[in-house]
Parts: sequence; C-alpha cells; structure tokens
Amino acid sequence: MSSASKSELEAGGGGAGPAAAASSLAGRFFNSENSLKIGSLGLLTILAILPVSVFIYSAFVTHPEAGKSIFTFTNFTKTFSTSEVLDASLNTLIIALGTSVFSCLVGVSLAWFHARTDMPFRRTLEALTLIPFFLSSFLGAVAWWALAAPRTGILNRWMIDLFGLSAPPFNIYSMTGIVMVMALFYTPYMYLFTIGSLNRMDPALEESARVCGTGVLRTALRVTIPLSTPAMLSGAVIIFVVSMGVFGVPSLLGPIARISTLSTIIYTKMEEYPLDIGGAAALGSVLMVFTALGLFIQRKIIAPRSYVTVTGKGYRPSRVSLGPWKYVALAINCFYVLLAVILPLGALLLASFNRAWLGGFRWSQLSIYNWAYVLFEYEYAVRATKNSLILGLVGGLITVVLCTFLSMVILRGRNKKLSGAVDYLSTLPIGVPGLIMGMAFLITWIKTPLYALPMLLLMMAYMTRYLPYGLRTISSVLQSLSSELEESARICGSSFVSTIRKITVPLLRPGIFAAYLMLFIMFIRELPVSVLLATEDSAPMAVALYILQENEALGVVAAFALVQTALLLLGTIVFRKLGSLEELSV
Amino acid sequence: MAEVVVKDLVKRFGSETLAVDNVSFTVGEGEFVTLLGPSGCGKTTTLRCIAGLETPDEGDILIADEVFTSSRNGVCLPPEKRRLGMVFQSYAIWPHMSVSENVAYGIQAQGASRAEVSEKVVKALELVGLSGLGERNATKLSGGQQQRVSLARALAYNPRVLLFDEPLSNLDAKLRERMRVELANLIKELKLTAIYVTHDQAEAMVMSDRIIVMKDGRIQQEGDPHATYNEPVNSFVADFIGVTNILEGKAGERENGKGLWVDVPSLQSKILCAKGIDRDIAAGSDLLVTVRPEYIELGESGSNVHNVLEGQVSDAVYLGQSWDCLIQSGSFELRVQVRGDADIRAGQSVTMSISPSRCVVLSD
Ligand SMILES: Nc1ncnc2c1ncn2[C@@H]1O[C@H](COP(=O)(O)OP(=O)(O)OP(=O)(O)O)[C@@H](O)[C@H]1O
Ligand SMILES: [Mg+2]
Repeated sequence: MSSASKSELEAGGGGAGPAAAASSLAGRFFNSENSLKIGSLGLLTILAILPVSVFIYSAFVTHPEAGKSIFTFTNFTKTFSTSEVLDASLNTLIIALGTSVFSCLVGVSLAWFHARTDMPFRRTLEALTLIPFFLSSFLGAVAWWALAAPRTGILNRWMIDLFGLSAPPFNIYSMTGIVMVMALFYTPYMYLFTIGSLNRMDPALEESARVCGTGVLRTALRVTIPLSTPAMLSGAVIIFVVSMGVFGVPSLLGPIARISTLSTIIYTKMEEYPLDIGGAAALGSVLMVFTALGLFIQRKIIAPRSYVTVTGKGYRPSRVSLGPWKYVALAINCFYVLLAVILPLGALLLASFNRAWLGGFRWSQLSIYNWAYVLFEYEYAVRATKNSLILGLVGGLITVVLCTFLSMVILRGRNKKLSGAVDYLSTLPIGVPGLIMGMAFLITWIKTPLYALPMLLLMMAYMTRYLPYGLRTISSVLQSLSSELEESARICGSSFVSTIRKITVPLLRPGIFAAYLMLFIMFIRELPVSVLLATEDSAPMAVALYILQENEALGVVAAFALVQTALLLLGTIVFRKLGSLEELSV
Repeated sequence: MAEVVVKDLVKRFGSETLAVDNVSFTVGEGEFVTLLGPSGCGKTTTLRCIAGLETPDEGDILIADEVFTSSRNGVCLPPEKRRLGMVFQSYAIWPHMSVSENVAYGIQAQGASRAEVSEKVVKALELVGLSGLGERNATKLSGGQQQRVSLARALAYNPRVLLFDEPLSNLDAKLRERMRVELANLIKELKLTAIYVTHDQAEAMVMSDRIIVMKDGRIQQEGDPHATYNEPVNSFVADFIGVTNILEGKAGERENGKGLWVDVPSLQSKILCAKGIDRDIAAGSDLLVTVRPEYIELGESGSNVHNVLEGQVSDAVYLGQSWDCLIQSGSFELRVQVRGDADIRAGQSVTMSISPSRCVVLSD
C-alpha cells in the first residue's frame, strides 16, 4: 500500500480516492437503498397510518359546537352504555365463535379426508370444496336469502309443496342462519390452513403410532391432529377476528330478526340520521383492538409453536385406508358441497332465468331478460360492473407493483432496521377490519379535493387494506430465492436498482402474477371497504348487489350476483393454473 | 497491482454474535490465500465484508491502495463499485438466463460493446471448458458444469480479485479433487489474485500459497501450507489440520542449538523439541507438544539418539498404503502411522523414535 493513502487513512480524513469521497458518511445513509426505504415508510404513513390515526383521534373527540372540539371519553361511555350496543357486542362474539368453531370442525375434517385418507373423488371434490373461498360470504348470504327466506325462499317452497308442511321449515333470518352462512364460507380458509401441514407431515410419525398398535381414528386424533394443532389454532383465531368484523352477512340477514352486530351498528351510525361519527369511531376502535389482539396472539404465540414435521423426502405420504367409512367421509364432503356451492349457485341460476319469480322455477317463465337487463340495460348495474373491473384490473396492478417493490425493500438490502420498520407498517392493515378502513379513509379525506375522485380514493383504500395479502404472496417467493443470486449481480458491477430490474423481477414473475390474480379476486368481491366509501357513481359490484337486494326483484339480483360470481370464477380458474393456494390463507 | 489489505476487521451480528474479531491480513498480487476454519468461524463473513455485501463494524479494507471500506471515514463502497469476482457455494446461477447470458452479465455491466461482450463470453467459457454450451439453460447443467459457469461469470470481466466461498463443497468427492487442481492451475495461469474460503483442510493444502486458519472470528495462524502443517502454533491448528498427538509436559532445560527438553509424565520420558521454541519459555512451566503420527518411526535409527520410546501396539488398522496404529507407551496411547508393508500385530512390543525437528511446542 502506498504511504500516501495510508497516512490519509490514519489521519481519518475522507477522500482517499474519488470513489471514497462519493460515499462519505452522509452519502452512506442517503444512498439509493436507504432513500427507497425511507420513501416507502413515507408512502405507508400516508396510506395507512394517517387514516387510522385520524380514525382513532375522532373516537376521542366530540364537537359540542361547530368549529370546537374537545378531548373526551364520552364517545365510549355513551356508546357502550346503550343496551343496543351491548346486545350487538354479544351477537358479534356469538357469530365469531360459532363461525370459527363450525368452520374449524368441517374444514379440518375435510382437509384430513383429502390429505390423509383414501376417500374417493378427492381431486374433483377439492376443486368444489374450495369454490366458496373465491366467492364471498356476502354472495353466499344473498344466495341463501333466495333459498331460505321464510316466505319466498325456494327451499321453503319446495318443502311445503313436497311434504305439505303448514309453516316454512327454514328461517335464514336468524342467528343460526347467519352463523351457518358464515361457517360455510369460512370452511375453505380452515381447510387451506391445515392441508399444508397435513400434506407435508412425515408419514413415519403416523406409521410409528400405527406400529405401536393404535387404530386409524385414534392415530388421527392422537398424532395427526395434535401435530397440526398450531396450524388449526392459527386458522381458528384468524377466522374469529375476521368474522368479528364481517359486515355483509349480518347486515343482510340480521335486520328482520333484529340481530345487529358491531359492524352493522357502525354502518348505521355513519349512514343514518343522526350521524354519530364519534360513536362509530369508538365502536370501531374497540373492534380494531380485538382484531389486533387476536392477530397478535396468532402470530406471536401460536404460529411460532408449529411443529417441524417436514421430511426431505419428495414422495407423497402414504394414505390411511378408511374401509367402508370412506363413503361416510364422501357423504360429509358432498353434503358440504351441496350446502356451500350447489344449492346457492343453483338457486341463483334458476331465479336468474325466470323473468318473474313466483316461488319456484317455471319453464313457461324461462327468459334471459334478467341477464340482458343487468349486463346491458340497467345503468347502475352496468356502471358497477365497469367500476369493479377498473378497480380489479388497474387497482390490482398498482397494488401488485407496490407489493413487489415493498417486498424487495423489506427482504433485501443491508439496512435491516429500516426494512423491519417497512415490514411492520405494511403488515399493520391486517388488523384493521375492512369497514373501519373504509370509514377511516372517508373521515380523513372527505374534506379534501381527493374526495372528488371517489374511484381513486377507493383504489387507495383497497390498496392499503389488501397490501399485506399481496405482499405475503410475493415475499414468500422472494424468500425462496437465494439472495446470492442478487449479490453476485452486485459483485459483477450492477447497481441495486438495475439488479432488481434484471434479476429479481424476472425471477419473481410467477409470484407477481399470482398476487395480481389474487388481488383481482379480492377487489372484485370487495364490500366492507367500499360500502361507506363508494358514492352512487363509483359503487362497485358488491355495493350494487347490496342495494339491488333491497330494491329489485329476485331474478335481477340473482343475475347480477352471478355476473360477479362468473368474474370471480374466471379469475380463480386462471389462478388455479398457477398453483399454490395455501399461500393465500393469511 | 492487486494487493488486498484487511485491517482490524470487526463484524457483529446483533449484540451477541461477534462473527469477525479483529482480523488483519494482506494478500499480495497473484497470491492464492485461503481462509480455513471450522463452521461458524467467520470465514464467509470476512469474505462478504471484502465483497461489500456486509458492512463491517470496524476496520479498513483496501485493494490496490483504493479504500473500499473504512469505518473511521464512514466509507463503504457498494459491491458493484469494487470490480471483484465472486463464486458462491450455491453457484447462484440465474435460472432465467442461458449460460452465455449469465456470463455476459458482468461484462455488460462494465459497459462493454456488443462485440466485446460476445468475444469475452466465448473466451471465458473456453477457459472453464464449457465451449459450445453457451445457449443451454444454465439450470439444466450438472453440478460441476454449473460450478464452471459460475467461475466463468466471475472471471469474464477481469476482476481485480476473485473471491471463492466454498465453491467445491457441493460436488462429489472425485470431481472435487479434480476441480481443486484444475481451479488452482487456472488461477495461477491467469495470474489472478484469489481469496478462497473453505473448511476442508486438504483443499486448502492443495490449492493455496498461504493459509489463514481462523477460529471464533480470530486468526490463529498464517503461513504457507508446509509451515502450517509442520509447525502449528497452537493445539487448535495442530488438531484442525491433519491428525496429531498432543502431549502435556513441563519445560526443562535448553540444549544449545538442538532444542528444548520437555518432561512428559504420561510417556514417562523426556522429549527434545526443536520447533516452536523461539520464544521465552520459563523452565518448569506447563506446555503442550504435538507430534504427527507419520513422523513417529518404528525401530531405532542411528541419527535419533534422542526421543526413543518403548511401547506396545494396542490396535492396528490396515488402510492399504499405511497402518493406522495406537501404541501404548507409558500411560499414553500414541497414534502412529506406519508404512503399509510393515509387519504389525496388536500386542507386539515396539521401539519408536521421533526426530526433535518433528516435535513442536505449542503456544497454549
Ligand atoms: N446474517 C447473519 N445474521 C446473524 N448472524 C450471522 C449472520 N451471518 C453469519 N452469522 C454468524 O456469524 C458467525 C460466522 O458466520 P460465517 O458464515 O462467517 O461462518 P463460516 O466460517 O463461513 O461458516 P461455514 O463454514 O459454516 O460457512 C456464525 O456464528 C454465524 O451464526
Ligand atoms: Mg461459510
């Protein structure tokens, strides 16, 4: 080493060569990597932190007179002292508990049948079992309303006609009805949560139990199921918190039986006179705290306890032979598919092809009038379809670009502290129920010029709410790519940004595409964020369906619901060609 | 012009792990230096600091007088500004590119013209013996071929220094041995400076000009393979490189020009040691002596009037070219390697002798 550079080094003076001068201390912090990370933090703050903060703030202030606001707890005390809210809290808990218990029972059994037993027709049934995952519980509620509304429900009519009953046997306007519809539609989530751990489990774990002399069922109950307990508990907790915040099902099936939940009350306080923003925000904050608490328990306490039971072996584990019981398993699975897929979609299909629905399908009434009406003539419905497509295609694209960018910012680069902060901020929206995200965006932006662009506002809200899901899909692919692939490009002389462009993005392409389709599906069916935020002109399909259901004939509602279903199934088919569904269950 | 200087390098992960602890060394132009040590001793971390993939907490790294990293000046050049080449253990072949595209990538990043790029790609592939495979999908190649692609990619743009992180450890034993020689020859032929990381001592012996032995983030010994093997400085190095006997003893008198007498109670004998005694050793102090099994000779040869031991063979395993024996002498079981044509049986009584120049006093 030359003495000149040595002395410079020891003197501590910078500038030992031009390259060194360029990356002095300040330069080192504000290099391209750190600027990207700080930029992401800023963006996430505007998207997520700002609205949620405004929302929480508004729970703690009242406006006794115009232009004056005081800090207070009255919103909480006043709201939670009404019996209506106490009833609603209880209902919310019952619904959440019922949904997670029933979907857990059914979902785990089905997953076990599919992953570990020799039940026949597994492939076909798996595809059918998962259909509800891609539709929405709100679509399910609309369909079951058509099936089992006390006077007009198709099933009720059939039963009366067939058995000469004096009163309709089913009443979907009840707690049982609400929990049933929710459980039917959350069962596939539970299925996806458990099937992975069952599929990957080392068969030797079960085989050794069998060798020790335990039978099929005992082995399942004593070994297989306990080993997947952490995965199941994770699923149950997530379904619990998600169903606490669900809006569509209780708001459709609840009112007639006077069943309200926290989310339907929040909606009423925001939409009906007298408006009570403070009260709604107070309720929402409580809901948000419980959601966040549940997710915290799931991530920090349950998930880390999963057992590592994976083998390195490439082959599929051997299956348990159920003997004649396999037909029982088959029957259970078929019954589920009947309730969750065939009856709902069948009812909608029949109703949509009759011009006037008189309680049953009539060939004399066969017509495509309803379809033509919602697809071409009914302006509100046509506009809603268009809006949803724009949100799904364009919004989904923007979101997936953001997710790709953020996943790289989080997983790559040298500054781990900043990465951690970005990761934290971008996961935060998971703890905010959709209805609350919508409300937060509404009260944050209503007095700004942004409110004049409702589609943009909707897009931003969707983007924020569903960011964690897209991020997860892309991050899991990125995590499986060795960082050495990028490091060797850096050493070859390409910069952080050009490495992303030439190496990372091309390798990530399958993950990016899967995330895009998933976001498309989520955006097309989206109800809770939109229901408060959308205006008449910007209403997406789910909101339009909500309005139609109140005002239109069953045939029109059914046709419109099926248009949405068709879009969702189309997205699903493309998606399934790409593989792994498990990544989608949060 | 490629002289690598690493000075007082420190790298921590969190507050607990001190991965690299005050490491300093230099690598001369055209030199092949190996960082050798057990798993987790900080070899990879040191190499990644040189590459600019990790930012060290303290220390300086200079190459050809240019400051790459200097914690005091807050300088840390990003990897792409360093013009180094690196071969990873996993090869890190980009699966979405063909072989040529992989190799061309680094040349393009230097801003070379099209013609220049394709010329250099051809040359690099030729060097590693992959001519004609350029259009193949790089992930469809065998392990050994991927290894060559990865090498060609690192060579192609004339890097100042080549860094290797256990590049051969994913290959099977036969191929690994062939590649060792081939790789070392290629690097000598091209007069490249190389820093090579491995935990395989045989690999280090065969390939390097100089070996740096590390443990727990610290350098234990630096020297050419011969010196590292024959004059280990401490019991870790002696034990890590090859097989050895380590004897506990007490320092005795010095014998002028010949060595230091060490009293070894377990052998019930005194041993004259001629190596590792350049420092002050107080008479009566406890110390360790190492003797390699192959330097213990059977029978009494004329020159070895010192260090003659009696013993009884307790176990002998035939390995073809040699016998691997355990010989009980006093209360110690010496490991001794004897030529394969010798006649050895368990239970046999033998006389052994050790040349003083093969007895090394360790510093711990
Ligand atoms: N990114 C990291 N985060 C935390 N600790 C790390 C990280 N990288 C390395 N370490 C720790 O630093 C120490 C040195 O690791 P390093 O990879 O340099 O070892 P190595 O000598 O290359 O070992 P091997 O032969 O197993 O590759 C180890 O204790 C390791 O656990
Ligand atoms: Mg290593």
